[in-house]
Amino acid sequence: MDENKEYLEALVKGSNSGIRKIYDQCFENVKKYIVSNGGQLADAEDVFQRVLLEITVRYKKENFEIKSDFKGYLFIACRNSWIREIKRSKKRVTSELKTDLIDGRAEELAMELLEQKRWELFQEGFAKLSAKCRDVLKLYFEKVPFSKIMNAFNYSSETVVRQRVFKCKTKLKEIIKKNKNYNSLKEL
Amino acid sequence: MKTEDKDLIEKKLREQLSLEEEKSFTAKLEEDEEFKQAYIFEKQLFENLDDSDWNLTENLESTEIKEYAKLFKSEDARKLADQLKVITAEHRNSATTRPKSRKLYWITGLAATLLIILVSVFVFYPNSQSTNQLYTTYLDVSEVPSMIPRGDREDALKVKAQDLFESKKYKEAIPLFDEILSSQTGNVATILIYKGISQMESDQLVEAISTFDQLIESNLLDASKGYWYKSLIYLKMGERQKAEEILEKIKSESLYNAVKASELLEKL
Repeated sequence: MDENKEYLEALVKGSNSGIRKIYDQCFENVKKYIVSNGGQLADAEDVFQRVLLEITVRYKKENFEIKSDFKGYLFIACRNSWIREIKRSKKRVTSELKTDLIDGRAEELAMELLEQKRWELFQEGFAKLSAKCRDVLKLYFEKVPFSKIMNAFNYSSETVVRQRVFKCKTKLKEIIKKNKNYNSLKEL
Repeated sequence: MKTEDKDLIEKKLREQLSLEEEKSFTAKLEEDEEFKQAYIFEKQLFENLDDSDWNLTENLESTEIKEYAKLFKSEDARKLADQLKVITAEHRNSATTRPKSRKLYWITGLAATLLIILVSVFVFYPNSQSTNQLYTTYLDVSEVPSMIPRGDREDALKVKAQDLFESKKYKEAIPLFDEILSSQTGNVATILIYKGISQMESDQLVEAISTFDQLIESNLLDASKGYWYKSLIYLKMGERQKAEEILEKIKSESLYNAVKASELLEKL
C-alpha cells in the first residue's frame, strides 16, 4: 500500500507536514476512544505519541509492512496501548509521572513494541483458523462458561464444546509455533 | 502433560480455581518446568486473544528488549519524540481555536456556564491552560521594531509583509518573510523574529522553534532575543519545565527581557 509507506516515511524522515497529516486524520478517533474509556486528553496525547514513536523505531529496524490501512492499524495499536496502560496501572503501586517521552521510559517503550508485535503474531495465527473455530475460541478466551457456548452454537453437550475447543486450540498452537518469529517473542 | 495439569491451567486462566486448587497450582508452577512453560503459552493465548486483556512482558533481561531500548535512546528517536511533542501541542491549540459552527451561536447566552467550566479546567489542568494564558499575556508584538525604516515605504515586499503581520494574517505573511530572508543579507534578526512570531501564532511550533534557533545560533546583535520567544513557545505548548529552563537562563545572563523573565518565573 503506497499510502501506508507514505505515512511511515513521513515518520522516519520527520516530515512536519506528513506528521501533521497523521494527527489531522487519526488523532480524533484515538482521543474519542481513550476519553470514553476512562482517560483524559493528556492520556490520549501520550499514547498517540508513544505509538507513533514505536511504529517508527520498528519500521526502521525491521522495515515491517502494515497489511491493513495505516489509520486502522494506528487506531488498534493505540487502543492496545491504552488497554495495556489500564492493566499496568492496576498492577502498579505508585503512579508514575510522565514528564518525558523517552527519558526513563526506553525499556517500557521497547516492551510495549514487542508486546504489540507478539499480539500481531497471535492475531495472525488466529485469523488462519476456520470461522467456526474462531467463533468458539473467541468466547472461550473471553471466559464465557461452557454451558453458554453450548447454547450459543447449539452443541448437544458441554463435552462436545470441550472437544471442539481442544481441537481448535491445538490447531492454533501449531500455527503459532510454526511462525518463525515466535521463538524470539515467547520468552519476553 | 497429564490431563489434570491441563485442566488446572485452563481453570486458572478462566478464573475457576478453588482455594485448594490455587495452592496446588502455585506449587506446580514453582517445581515443574514443563507445567510452567505450558502455562505461559496458554496465558499468552488468553491474553492476546481476549480483546479486553493484554499480555504484558515480564522478562526485562531479554536481549530483544535491550536492543529496542537502545534504539529508543538514540539521537534520531529523541529528535522525533521532541517533534511529536511539539506537533501534539500545535494540534491541541488548533483544536481549541477552531471556529465554531453558526448553529452554535445561540450558546452565547450560556457564556457564564462555559466560564465556570473553563475556570474548573484551569484548576484541574493547570499545566497547559495557565501557561497558554501567560503566553498570550507576555507575547507583545508591539515591542518588535518595524522592518521598515521610518518614512521608507518603498520596499513593497516588506511593506506588504509588515501589513499582513499587523493585521494578524500570519499564515499569509510567512512566505513573504521567507522571500525577504532569501534576498537580504546582514542584519536579519528582526525579520527572523517576525517570521518566528508568525509561525508561533499560526501554530507551526516546530518551524517557530527552528526559526528562533536560527536566530540564537547567529552572530547577530539581537541573537539572544531568540531565547525569549522560545520560552514563549514552550509556554504555549504547556511545557512548563522547558520554559522555566530558558527563562532562568535569560534571568541569570541578563539577556533580552530579563525583567519580564523573572516576573514570569514567579508566576509559573
